[in-house]
Amino acid sequence: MILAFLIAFPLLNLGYRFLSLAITTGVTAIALYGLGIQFGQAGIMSVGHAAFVGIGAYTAAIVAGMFGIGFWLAIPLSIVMSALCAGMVGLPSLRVGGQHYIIITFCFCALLQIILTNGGTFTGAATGLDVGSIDHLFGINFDQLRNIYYLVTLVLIICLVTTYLIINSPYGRTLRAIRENEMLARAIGINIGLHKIGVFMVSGAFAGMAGILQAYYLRHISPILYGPFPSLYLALMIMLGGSRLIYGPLIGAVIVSFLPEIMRLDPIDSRIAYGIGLLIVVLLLPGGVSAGLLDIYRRLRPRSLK
Amino acid sequence: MIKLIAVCAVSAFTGVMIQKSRAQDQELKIGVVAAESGSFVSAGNTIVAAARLASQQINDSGGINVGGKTYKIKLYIRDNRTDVNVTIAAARELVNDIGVTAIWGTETHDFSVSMAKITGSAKVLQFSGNSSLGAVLDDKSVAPGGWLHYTFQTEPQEWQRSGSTAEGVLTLLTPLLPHPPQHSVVFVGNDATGQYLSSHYVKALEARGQKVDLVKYPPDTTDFSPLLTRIKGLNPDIVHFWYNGDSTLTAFPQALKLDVAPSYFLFGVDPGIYQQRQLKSDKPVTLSCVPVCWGASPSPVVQEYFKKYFDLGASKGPQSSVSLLYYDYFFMYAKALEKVGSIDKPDQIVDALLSMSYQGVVSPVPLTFNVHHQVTFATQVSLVKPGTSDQFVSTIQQPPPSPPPGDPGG
Amino acid sequence: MPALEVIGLQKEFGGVTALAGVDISIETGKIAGIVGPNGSGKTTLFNVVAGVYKPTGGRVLWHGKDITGKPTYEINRRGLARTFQQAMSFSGLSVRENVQISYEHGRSHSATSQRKINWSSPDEILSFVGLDRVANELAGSMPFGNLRLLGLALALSTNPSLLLLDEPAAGLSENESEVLTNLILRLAEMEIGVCLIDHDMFFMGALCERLIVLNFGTKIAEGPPSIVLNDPSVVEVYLGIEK
Repeated sequence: MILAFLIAFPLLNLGYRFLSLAITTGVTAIALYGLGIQFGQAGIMSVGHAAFVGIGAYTAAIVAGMFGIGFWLAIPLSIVMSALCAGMVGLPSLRVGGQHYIIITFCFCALLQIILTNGGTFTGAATGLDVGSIDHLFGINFDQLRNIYYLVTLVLIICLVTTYLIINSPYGRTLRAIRENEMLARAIGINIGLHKIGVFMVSGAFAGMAGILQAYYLRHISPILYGPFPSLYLALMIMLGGSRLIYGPLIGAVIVSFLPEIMRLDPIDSRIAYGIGLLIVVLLLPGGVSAGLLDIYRRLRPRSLK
Repeated sequence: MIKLIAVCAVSAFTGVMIQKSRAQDQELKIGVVAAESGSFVSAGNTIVAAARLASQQINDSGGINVGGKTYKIKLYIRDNRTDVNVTIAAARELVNDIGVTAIWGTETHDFSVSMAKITGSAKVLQFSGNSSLGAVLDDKSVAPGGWLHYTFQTEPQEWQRSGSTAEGVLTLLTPLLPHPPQHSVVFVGNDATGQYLSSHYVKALEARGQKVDLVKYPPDTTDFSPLLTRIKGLNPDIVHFWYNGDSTLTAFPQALKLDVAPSYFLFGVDPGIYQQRQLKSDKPVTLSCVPVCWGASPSPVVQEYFKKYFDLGASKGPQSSVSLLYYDYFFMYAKALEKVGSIDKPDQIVDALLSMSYQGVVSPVPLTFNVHHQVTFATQVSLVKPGTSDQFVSTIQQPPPSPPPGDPGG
Repeated sequence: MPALEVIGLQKEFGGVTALAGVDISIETGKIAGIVGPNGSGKTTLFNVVAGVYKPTGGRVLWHGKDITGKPTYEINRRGLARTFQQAMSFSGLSVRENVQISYEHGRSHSATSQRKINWSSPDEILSFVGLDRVANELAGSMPFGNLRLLGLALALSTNPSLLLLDEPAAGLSENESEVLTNLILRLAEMEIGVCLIDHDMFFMGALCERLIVLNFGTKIAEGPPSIVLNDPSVVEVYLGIEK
């Protein structure tokens, strides 16, 4: 039913402002689904996720500028680049222990921002890079906002389906095993290192897709979008929304994007609100808002319980 | 009975007159996208204040006469919350939901560029006071059909502003120093605007014989002492604090405490705010305004402007003079509309703007747009009398005729 | 050929010698026991064999092939499974999901593990150890006795030919111990080798066909329980420990 709402949303005619916000929220949610698998299933948090969104975005912008490769052909490039980088960033943590991974992600994100800012004309330095519009496909004109919305929604649905398939597959179960008890997982034949790198890459792939979508929607990207601060916001969203349930990342993105909009909060008040929200989640709703909603749903309809 | 008829007649007549005048007053929808909250609020607020002042003055003096109809400006102000997603959403709202004919804003290069992608394809005029737009305004982008054809840069090209600033600073400081300054350190926040501005300013200083060291700080820095100590070790003659004004106001007192240099330059800090914050230094300090100053206004016209500006409730922030990057162009746009005779002919309006001159507040010389949609005007540089907070000597510095060696122009 | 051979195994942690050169052979289909006082190196032996630690000297052979220093997951895939002294489980998941995970990984192991069992489903494993009635419970909320059984189920799911059980009876009641004993006997019947560590001499003496005694990282006795338990050096080491 949520899907129906997503699809019908533009028809509600809430205006271009809401449509635009919905698009940017959807892009954020796509990135969050990656983090949802990595953190929700494998239990490995990252505070550098925006860096991989940035790699996807910059890959798209650079291949467009240097080789004239448009949106559609650049999609696999962005996804692969982000996945590879995410895997590489995770490699050192296998040696030194998982608790260092989170610090490594933060450092990588800060480092990437520095590299992008000082990358001269290749990365556009602090002024950033510009990107054209999405080429027409099958006659669909992507200069129309509504069509961009449908594109983002389609990708989001793919993310939802992929997440669902992963959660309910042996692969997802393996990730959960790693999350619950690494030592025991090893003892039953799970190659922890391989699976960790694998989940980093999966997470990076989602981020890369979000990155290219963002680049082609904003049509102008710069390093400030992909630093540690945006990464922390992503971590916040996944914790608020909940990482283990399938709608968690979407709920997290919606809360953080639309709460200030609907309640007309300025950035300072929003941050206070998020801080309070985070406290509530940590103390009362460990599974995030999505888990809380599921709980309420179950209580109201006890006969649905198996 | 007669009284009743008379009353009816009068009210009917009045009603008709009111209807008629309402029918005559058309609405000219103008959008403003600026940071009313978030980290760029100092600059953002000035755009909003300028818009309010200008539109109020235009409406109070009878509105704009376009094609026989009277138009009153209706402002649609949207806070971008210093966030690019909100900027885009606001631009979409203004362009598609509300249907504005022009948008003023934003205070940030990145936001202005993203917004221009939207206004450009919708043929909505955009007035942005970012000199960094010079990097993207070229023959192709401003040509009809180009994405910047409807965008106007209301801040002079950076090499011009940097040139006049450098000239003004050196002119004012040299007499007060024991020997002519040779070594300058430029201290700048390392984001898009900071990088762009400093790249031109460094060239401008070097063209005037300065050996320049560029020191960049992360934009969110609050404790500048490590970097300032390092700068002190370089033994500069002048330390130039560039973008941005808020950071400069934090860093400058720290620099005074550490006694970093024999002289200073503060970019984007108006004499008015220097006085308000009661800053005091026994070393000579120069200030530049973007573009002309409040607190040491160079002319009665500017003084009058700032009086009205603050009277309307604008806050006295460090970058209040930024408002002048936006103010005059409301009148210029109005003039262009009157000339074209319609509010719905953006191509003709663009041509009208490109071919006209307008005597505004920001410059004693009439404003014109060059072929790349950019304006040119002088910069005011002020010297604070050492040991005081409120005594200033100013010079109005004209821009140099051409970019210095190594400067790509733009 | 013995299934597991440990030759001159040494392990040092910093300055502490946990294993000072141990030689052991274990065969499949038999039940062997490793006993010794606390700190004699029993669990360290298991950990080194199972790939948790790399030895500082010596070798580990599995069906004649050198597996010294290989990672745990690799060793498990070749047919060697172990349980842990502290009852380990995937506590946030249900009992069935626990076993399903190890079952799925057990199925994908290579054929060289010389497997003796071939489970058809996770439920078969659950029935075998007797956890089928609590299959939907959260592993982390189960009583200790069931956790021990779950640990055994997880190890069994990986289709091992040899099981290393680290203090499987510790903390169990009389009844639970009896259930465990019966399970181990059934495993021996299925030709799966079992090697267990425990402190309960009564339990070990009754169950094991062979006992190996460790003290301070060396083997001090080996043989049928009746002989080993009456060995004077063994008795001396165990003076004061309850039977």
